[in-house]
Amino acid sequence: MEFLAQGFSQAFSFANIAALVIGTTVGIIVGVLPGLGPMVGMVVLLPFTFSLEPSVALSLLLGVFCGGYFGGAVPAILLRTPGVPSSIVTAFDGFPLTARGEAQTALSAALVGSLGGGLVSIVILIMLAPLLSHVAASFGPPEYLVAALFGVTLVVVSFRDQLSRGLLLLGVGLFLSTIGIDGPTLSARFTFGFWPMQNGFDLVALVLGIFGIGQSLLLLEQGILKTNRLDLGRNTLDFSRIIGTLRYWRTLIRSGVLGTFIGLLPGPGSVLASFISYDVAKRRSSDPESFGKGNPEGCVASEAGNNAVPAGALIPLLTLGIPGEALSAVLLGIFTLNGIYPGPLLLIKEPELISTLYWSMLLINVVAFAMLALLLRPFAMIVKVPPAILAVCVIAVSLIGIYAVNSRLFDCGVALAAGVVGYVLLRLGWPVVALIMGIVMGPIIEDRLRQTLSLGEGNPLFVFGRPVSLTIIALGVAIIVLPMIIRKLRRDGAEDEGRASS
Amino acid sequence: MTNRTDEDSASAAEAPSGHETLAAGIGMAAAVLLILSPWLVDRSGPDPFYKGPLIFPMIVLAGTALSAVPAILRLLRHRVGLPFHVDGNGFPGRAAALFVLMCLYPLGISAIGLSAATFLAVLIGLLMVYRRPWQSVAIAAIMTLTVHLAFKTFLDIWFPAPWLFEMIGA
Repeated sequence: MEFLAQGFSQAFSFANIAALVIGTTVGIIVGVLPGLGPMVGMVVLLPFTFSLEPSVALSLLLGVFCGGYFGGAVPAILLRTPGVPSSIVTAFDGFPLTARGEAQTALSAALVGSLGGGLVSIVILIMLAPLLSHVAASFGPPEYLVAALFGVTLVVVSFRDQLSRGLLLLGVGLFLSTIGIDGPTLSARFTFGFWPMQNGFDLVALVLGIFGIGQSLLLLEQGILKTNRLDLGRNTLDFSRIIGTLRYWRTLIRSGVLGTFIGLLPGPGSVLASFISYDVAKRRSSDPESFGKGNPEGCVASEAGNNAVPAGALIPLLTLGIPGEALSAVLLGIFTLNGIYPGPLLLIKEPELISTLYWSMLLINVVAFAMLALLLRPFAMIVKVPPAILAVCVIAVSLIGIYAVNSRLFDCGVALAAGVVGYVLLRLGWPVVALIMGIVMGPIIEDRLRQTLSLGEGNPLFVFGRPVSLTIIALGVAIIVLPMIIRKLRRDGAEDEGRASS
Repeated sequence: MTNRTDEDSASAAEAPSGHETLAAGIGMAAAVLLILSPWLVDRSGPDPFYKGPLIFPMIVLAGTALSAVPAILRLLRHRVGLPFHVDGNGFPGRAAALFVLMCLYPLGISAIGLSAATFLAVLIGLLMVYRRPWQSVAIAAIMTLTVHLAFKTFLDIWFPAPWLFEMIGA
């Protein structure tokens, strides 16, 4: 309790509240707009965070992170077009409810689900982070190296259908992180004698280019919704429906817990959390046939599951320094740019920051709920903004942000080149998250690799002589190999059955 | 007849696409960088190889090149030439035009300043892709004001003096 009290005043300071309200607003807007998403919101706000206190900067970006998931449900329910990918599951029951003239019921269920899932996940985060930190305190460089490799491997493996593409992009990301002057040895690497490259590629320029510019160009080509149909009934959320939704409290808690633990694993992310939460709710329901035809419980389960992911993803990020997906990777970038290195000692070294972070997460969920409940129609109307305007404005703000950081035209050039790469990769549907993971995790993995090899005097097999490293390796092998074996067995079984029946 | 159609569609599904060309290109670039890496990395320091600046890039480049092997093999197996189309959805003309304009925008900021460059870039960009003149002027003006307030007034970020104005002034 004392720990939580440390960040209370900072969390309720004017700067922090302003940051989280602005972040949440931006998050809801980019979440409501199909084709943008919280990642674009986060990277566009990234340059603004450099002049802010770390806790305020994190509140701003976490606001976008969580607000995006809240906002994503609105177009999914009203127009059957998810604002964020995970909200597709919300549309299964949300849109049939809208079609029946019960949009308010669906929106109430989704928003209560989002709020409940978010709150449940924060409680788990507060309880689980110190435990994991305690375990991680016994880690040395080899364990960190193995844990970091385990994290990036899980992210790549989660794109099973595109494994070689994921590995390629991870490799490209890791390589990009090596360009420039090498910190420990002060040796120039891959600079081709071009002095602006000695500083390496700026993380902000790369991330803003790939997502801010690349995604906007894609948005311009593909367009988003063109609709005049927004059947809300009233301007705000109908509060009597909110009370009615509370009868699904079991589903809400269960989905929140599931979402948090899925968010904890690097890779799977919010889409899987939504699907699994929805599936479990359907299986345990007394009326499973009504799912997919307009059951509010489906909206509660899906939204509670996906909105629990941000807090779940913070657990490995804060305790091990391992981001589970691209959004957490950007948060890790903010930590390191401010000289804060997430790991088991973070809770001991920066208790006030972490406590503020917990309070901010809590406030963000409440603020996002309240904003959407009270300003439902204005937020829903955002889907009518033409994509051409959005694309031009997002690219312009991205480029100003990059130029503002160092006033270097070279960084703008890097961002524009990254924009082209991002556009092509996003259009092809390649797993861009692997590229971001590589860029962010590159320096961390290289640092740990050097320390590990120094400890082992150049012998990499030294890692296998340490029990904790071996345990993580065994766990990694089990998580990666077991599903492959199970799938192979199932496929063989299905083929045998097919042969027998024919 | 049906069997033949099935075979055709199966071979079309297996045929290399722009994805393979891109993957192979990345892999071959990684292989070239791997071979050249001893010359592209300054190794004059006293550190042994395992502590040096070359080990990590070499591991990464080798892994990247290896990841592209399946794509290269698929391209070699089919020998149908390198497909260069991205996804068959045509050339992104509007996106390309806006991209070229935005390439000039940072140069514009350094030449004529943040506000003037933002107004011009947003206005021209909207005229190219949105094509409603009065709305475009209004949006460009609002955007310029917002950017000025956010970056200069609120965040107090320093931008270099526009060199074109300085030159004219001098």
